[in-house]
Amino acid sequence: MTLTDGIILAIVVLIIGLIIYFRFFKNRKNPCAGCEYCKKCQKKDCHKK
Amino acid sequence: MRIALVGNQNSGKSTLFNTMTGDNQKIGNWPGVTIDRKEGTVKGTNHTIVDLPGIYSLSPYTSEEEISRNFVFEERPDLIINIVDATSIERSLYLTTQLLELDCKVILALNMSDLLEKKSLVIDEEKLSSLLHTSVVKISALKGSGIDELIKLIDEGRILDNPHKKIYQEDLEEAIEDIAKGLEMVHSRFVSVKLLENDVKFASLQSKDIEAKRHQLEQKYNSDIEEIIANQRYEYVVEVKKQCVVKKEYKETITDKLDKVFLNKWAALPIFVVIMFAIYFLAVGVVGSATVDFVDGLVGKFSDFMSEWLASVNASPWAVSLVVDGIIAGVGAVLNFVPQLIILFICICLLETTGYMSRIAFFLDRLFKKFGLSGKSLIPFIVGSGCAVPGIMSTRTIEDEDEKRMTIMLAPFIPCSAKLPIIALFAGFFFDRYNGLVSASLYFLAVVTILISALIMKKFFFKGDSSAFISELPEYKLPNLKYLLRDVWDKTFSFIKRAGTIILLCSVIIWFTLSFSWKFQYGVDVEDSILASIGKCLSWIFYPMLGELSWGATVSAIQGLVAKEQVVSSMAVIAGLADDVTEGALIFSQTGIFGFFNPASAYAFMVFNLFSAPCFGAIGAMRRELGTTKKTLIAVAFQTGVAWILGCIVFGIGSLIMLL
Repeated sequence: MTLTDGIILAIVVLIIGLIIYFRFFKNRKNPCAGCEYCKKCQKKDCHKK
Repeated sequence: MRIALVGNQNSGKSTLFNTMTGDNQKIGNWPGVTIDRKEGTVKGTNHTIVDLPGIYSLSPYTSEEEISRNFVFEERPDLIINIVDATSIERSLYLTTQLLELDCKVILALNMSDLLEKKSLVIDEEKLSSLLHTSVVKISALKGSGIDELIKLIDEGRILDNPHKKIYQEDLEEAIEDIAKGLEMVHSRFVSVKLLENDVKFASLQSKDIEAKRHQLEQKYNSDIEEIIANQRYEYVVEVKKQCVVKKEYKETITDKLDKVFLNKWAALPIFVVIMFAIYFLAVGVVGSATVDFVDGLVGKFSDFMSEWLASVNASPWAVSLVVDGIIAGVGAVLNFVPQLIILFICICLLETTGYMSRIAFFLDRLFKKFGLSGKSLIPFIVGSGCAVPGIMSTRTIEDEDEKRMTIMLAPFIPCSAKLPIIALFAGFFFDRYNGLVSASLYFLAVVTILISALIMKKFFFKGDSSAFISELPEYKLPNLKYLLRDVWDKTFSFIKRAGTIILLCSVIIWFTLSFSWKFQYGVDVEDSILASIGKCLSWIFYPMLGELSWGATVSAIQGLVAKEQVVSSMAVIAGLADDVTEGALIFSQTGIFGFFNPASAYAFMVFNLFSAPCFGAIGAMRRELGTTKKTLIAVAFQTGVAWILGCIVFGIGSLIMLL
């Protein structure tokens, strides 16, 4: 594995790590986060009845 | 100061909220756009303003009405801006009379005042203010007129006190005052009325004395107490209108003329069909042909550049493949469709903001009713054409539980924006000149499937009556360019963000499982890869609709559960690694892994992906609205079952046609 391979791998792992964190952990209680319909919604439990 | 924005549906609350705060909440020229409260700060002040869902009264029948009532009643705002549609004041003032019973100052904002002249109406705002004992301001939230005056009025505290004007007949007023005297609480007049109406929310405050008063009034008027109160409210509202609103000689407006065409018994449906065909023809056909090749070429050039550059900096073949065949091919395959989506978003937004969607809901109400749904169900279907998640969430406007559940299960059938890449890819390649027609046909197939499914559900599972659909038809309006651009940008950005996040993640996983074997050896033949072996175990499921045991199509369809765009992205990555192609059109190269597709299997595969279980985000929304995992699983199984059966039928019929 060359240095370039290491850098590419590190970048890809970092990006994937961030995606997983924001998608599945940080916003796990609000799966509609980022949706254009309620992206400015400030009520934390807006998706609940 | 904490200000609540309260008004009927489609009275322009969100537009006023956006104008006052400089925000960009979703707005639309149809009822039920806001389904939850939104908070912001009035520009240039410290005042907090809360946009509440539209309501017709403070008697909560739907969850949004409950949200609005609870906020106004329990969180006690310092001021209520009651936004009233100036062109139909009679309907709006019913809610005003209820708000004036609260212990809170109220400003009446007469919105759409700019349309009064067109409707040959004149409102005497001073007279209205003196009759209601409340401050009145004429505004146009869309054009921004009167907003400065409204903010100045609030800022300078020049708002009239609310003296609780008497609006009922003497005996009813006496009963209300008697009850109010015994209540040591805020909003005592409002609560007294509710106690007389026997509102369940205040059951703990009921007494025999109140019951006796109610009985006495009901006997006197020979009617139900709620009816007595509502009637006297309306009598008051009619009287106020009579004194404040002058109607000049009525001239037929543009709305009247357009409605004669768009709501014509015979022409309405054909016009709707033509409009939907035109939208898909424009988005998938005209723009599709012109832009996909261009964007595809750009992605191809970028891919070649990265491939050469990475090789020049000593990257190993696997690292080059990860970036080029995995990430760029996967994400690029989805980004190809952005220009088409922009056209689709513009068209849908135009239909929403001009007021045409409300006409369609109104017109289709009768048809939907025959199938166990109502015009109310149409709103989630329209919203769902952008994204199924808000579509499912907007079912909260449906009071009837059975109808709501049916709508939740059926809303994901409408082709959402994430499904457009699937339609565009297959229709563009296999149906060439007829791609617009084929794309639109899928939309109508979705409508027919919804109606037939609703009929079956109604017959066997949900046997109650459909709820009534009451909605006022808004004026036709020219779309506001600023809102249109914002709306289209928000939706497009949301799509691009998905491509850069979840699609990228899936593309890397696909690349990994395609490039490695179970023994984690790199560079194996794709037929021996991890993904191929998983796909081969499940490919029999799709055999009846593809006529081929294809592991590639199988794993791509299953990935639609993560995000529907991923079907296209996955096919691009698989074709790239298996057939060494990078351009979208070459996915279906005759000798390639997807070379077996023909028009029949292509249409069947599109149908399956369109109607099968939606993405995880939408399944999550279904779970929240349906309330239980069991009901959600039933809904998912139902959707996938319908999709599989339809896919098989389409393939069978299509194969027969091809034989002929």
